[in-house]
Amino acid sequence: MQRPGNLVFHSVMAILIVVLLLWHFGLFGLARNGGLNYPTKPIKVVVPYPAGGGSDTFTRIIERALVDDTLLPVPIVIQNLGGGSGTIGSREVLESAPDGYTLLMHHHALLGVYVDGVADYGPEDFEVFARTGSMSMVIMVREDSKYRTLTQLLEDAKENPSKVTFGANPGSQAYFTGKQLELAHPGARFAMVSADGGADRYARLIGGHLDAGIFSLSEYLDFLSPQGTPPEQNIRALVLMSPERHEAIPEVETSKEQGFEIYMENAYYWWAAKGTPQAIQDKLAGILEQAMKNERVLQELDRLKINAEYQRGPEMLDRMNEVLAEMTRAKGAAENMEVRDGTSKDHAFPDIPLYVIIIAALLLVGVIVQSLTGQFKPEENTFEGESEPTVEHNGRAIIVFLMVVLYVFLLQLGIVPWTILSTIMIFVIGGILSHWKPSRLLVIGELALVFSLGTAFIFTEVLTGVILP
Amino acid sequence: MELAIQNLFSLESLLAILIGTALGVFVGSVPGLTGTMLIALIVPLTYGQDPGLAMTFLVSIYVGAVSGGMITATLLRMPGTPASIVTTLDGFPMARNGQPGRALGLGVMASFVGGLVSWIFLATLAYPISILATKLSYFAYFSLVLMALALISSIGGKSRLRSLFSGFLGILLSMPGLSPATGQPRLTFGFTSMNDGFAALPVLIGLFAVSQILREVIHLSRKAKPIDIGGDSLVLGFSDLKRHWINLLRSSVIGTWIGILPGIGANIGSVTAYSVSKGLSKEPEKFGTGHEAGIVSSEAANNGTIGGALIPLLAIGIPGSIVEVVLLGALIQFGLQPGPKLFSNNQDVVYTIVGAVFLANIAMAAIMLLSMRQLAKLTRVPRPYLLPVILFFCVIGSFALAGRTFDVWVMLAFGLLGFFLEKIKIPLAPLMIGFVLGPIGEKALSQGLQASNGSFAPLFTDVIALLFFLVSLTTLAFPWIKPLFTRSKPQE
Repeated sequence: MQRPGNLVFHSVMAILIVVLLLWHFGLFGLARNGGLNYPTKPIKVVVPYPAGGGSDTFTRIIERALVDDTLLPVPIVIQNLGGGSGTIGSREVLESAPDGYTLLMHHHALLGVYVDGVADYGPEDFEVFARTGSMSMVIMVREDSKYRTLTQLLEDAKENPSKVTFGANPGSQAYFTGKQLELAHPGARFAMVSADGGADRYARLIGGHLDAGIFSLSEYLDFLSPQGTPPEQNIRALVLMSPERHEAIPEVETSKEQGFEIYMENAYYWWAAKGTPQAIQDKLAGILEQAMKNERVLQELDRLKINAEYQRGPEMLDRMNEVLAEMTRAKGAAENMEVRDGTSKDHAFPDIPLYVIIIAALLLVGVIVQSLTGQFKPEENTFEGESEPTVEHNGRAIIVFLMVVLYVFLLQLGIVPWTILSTIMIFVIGGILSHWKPSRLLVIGELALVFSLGTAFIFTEVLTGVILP
Repeated sequence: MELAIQNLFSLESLLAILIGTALGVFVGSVPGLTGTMLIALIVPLTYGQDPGLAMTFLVSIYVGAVSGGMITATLLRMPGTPASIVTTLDGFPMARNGQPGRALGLGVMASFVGGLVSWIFLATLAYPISILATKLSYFAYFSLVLMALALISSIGGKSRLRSLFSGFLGILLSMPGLSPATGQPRLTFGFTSMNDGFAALPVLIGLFAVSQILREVIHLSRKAKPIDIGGDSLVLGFSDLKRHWINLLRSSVIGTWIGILPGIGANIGSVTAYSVSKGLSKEPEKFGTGHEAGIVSSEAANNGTIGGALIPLLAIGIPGSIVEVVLLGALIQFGLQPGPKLFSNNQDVVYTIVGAVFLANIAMAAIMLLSMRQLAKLTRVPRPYLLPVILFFCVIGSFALAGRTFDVWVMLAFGLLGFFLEKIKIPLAPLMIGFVLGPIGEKALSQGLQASNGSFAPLFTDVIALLFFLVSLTTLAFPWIKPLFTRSKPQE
């Protein structure tokens, strides 16, 4: 085995370290040269959904316009913080400093989780400064479905209550719309089935496991198969949930035409932490207005069938609050209906976590009994060459673990720069493991510098999208 | 088609495949870094490039990353991706016994065959298979997960009871977050940061990498067994192919078919293939001790699953996993509308992607085989050099996942948990598999119950659901059934 103590190894390491150090301090110089005006450092935009989703795509279209037209003097970093129905990402912005450097791009789902009680904060707890783009929604069925109109669908749901399946996550806007439809056609009850998103709902629709679902217009157009596809493998828009027809699908009737004054659209809003100065909000809103006029943005939005609208100020707030009020009404009315029918969902559903806890506890008792009675002869699962650990060995493991804990703790506090802290961490742990043998320390030091500076380089220069602590 | 072939065999494209695959193998092998992460970070950089070339690059990373996961799983017992957990069971003991090169070689061969078999399905039957996959009902999904959970009991340890406990502990730990049925938070103890529960990546690297590092720190003075040059034949001959071909094909096909089901993931694929091989084997007791067939089953199946998962993505636009959602996003970025029309409207890009999968598999095998001798030495790098750097990557990887220190704390906590569970002889593989499968099964059950208005009847009326359900029951009852068979035989 060759030892990495040879000349080539050390020279490569030395060159790498010098180059990285030059870059590192060069960048520091740049960062200090900022003026006093906002913005002076990169702005983070939190997208509360995974990369690749609709919200992410939209945000990146806007970001590109900001970069192409140099509307902002600083870079934009898009951070995807998915999960928890968008609450992980929105919470991050809620708790951020109100300095305009952490923004949220989020749609009506923020209202839904508030109305449904998943989040204990709502639109009032943010500053919302612009509305950019909205999406029309359709109710979709399989092409060979027997339903031709919304009334037929609801009539079937009335004759066979809780038998007609409707794809909508609890607490989502689609769910509230479904509830509004039930209320508009007394006696109708859907079986609301959760789904992961448009693609999942589409698969279930094609597979015959869902009778109907709500999709955005662009999802509908994406999933529409070419002409000539067998009807049981294709889809059809039952109704457009808008007051007026859409030019992209002029043949689809609106809910108004079919006798329902129930509409649904989703819209993208830009949010900042509560208390962000009005001047910063105005500046950002102005920049977004510019971006929404960019030729390529308009093209891309047209392709995605996102209505390229822009709004700010009191009209925007009124519109949003109307949606919020509708959701709240639908929730209240739906709860009354459930109480009346005695079908609160809490009763209908098995408490799965409870069963898992019980089974795990029973198994645990089994494992303990097995160990105590000596029925389980543990085959040595130590691997060859491992000896019984001594107190000293265990102590070393504890120290190493505590070092990492301290490292993460300091990172969280953010007092010491990432590169310095990481270099020290790698070096000290390496030192402990090598018993501070001088012959090893050189290599450990080189590794520490190369990896901490190297990752800092990669994450700031090559791959943006991660902000180091 | 011709255009696609021309595109694929251009110099840039071949380079993209080579570099992409190598990058993928690298990030896949480093515990803490994943292909998903790299692809998500690279997608914005590809904007403005030629769509075919960019997709070729991204798909190559994807193929490389899945295979790279087995390197550290085999050599260090730190799986780089959840898909490689099952590979640690036999790969690591074999590497420890002085044959790291052979363990890797078998894995590469199996990965290659798995990738190839699923590619054949992708290239020939993508559309009809995808439509077929949508026919599987909610309850069928649920009982499929149930079957995989039952199979956990037969892997990973000497005691089925302990494996089952570990699996259920994994399910339990996956429960915090929003309930898939009601969307309400549960077991989050009031913290919004727990609304998404624990992310799989910090749990994986905590359980496997951090706990293994602690163990290595304790046993630092251990001398690694010298690599057995005689028995460690790096060159795999036809004899290996001949010995394992049934297993290879079976595991690849199992992996592919399970991969086609959206949202199922590579875990069920490798667990199922491994258990089937073990069940059919004449020497099932050898599984888990460094048995060749174990490595082959797991790796063939997990690569099969990945190829399988691309089928519904390209044919009808349904992503099967997070990484596929990212790939889908890349397609949208290039103005290619994914969905059933992708194939008819953008044939060239689809053919280019399909071709890239094939070439990336070849590149993966070539890269891994050529670097295997060097890679095997990873087991002999002095621990004071290796361990701090891996720890560093564990921290940065957990952090880079979402930019939250919460995930880093989760990783450290699971590191301690994993370490102590191993001390009391509770196997870790079932825990991780339970952790990954629990939510999938719960979601399917919730959806099924929502659709059936709370009735469990479809579990028995749906043929496929019933079939998987019976297999699960049989698997669980197997220890009690087996004596009946073995006893009755001599009397006949």
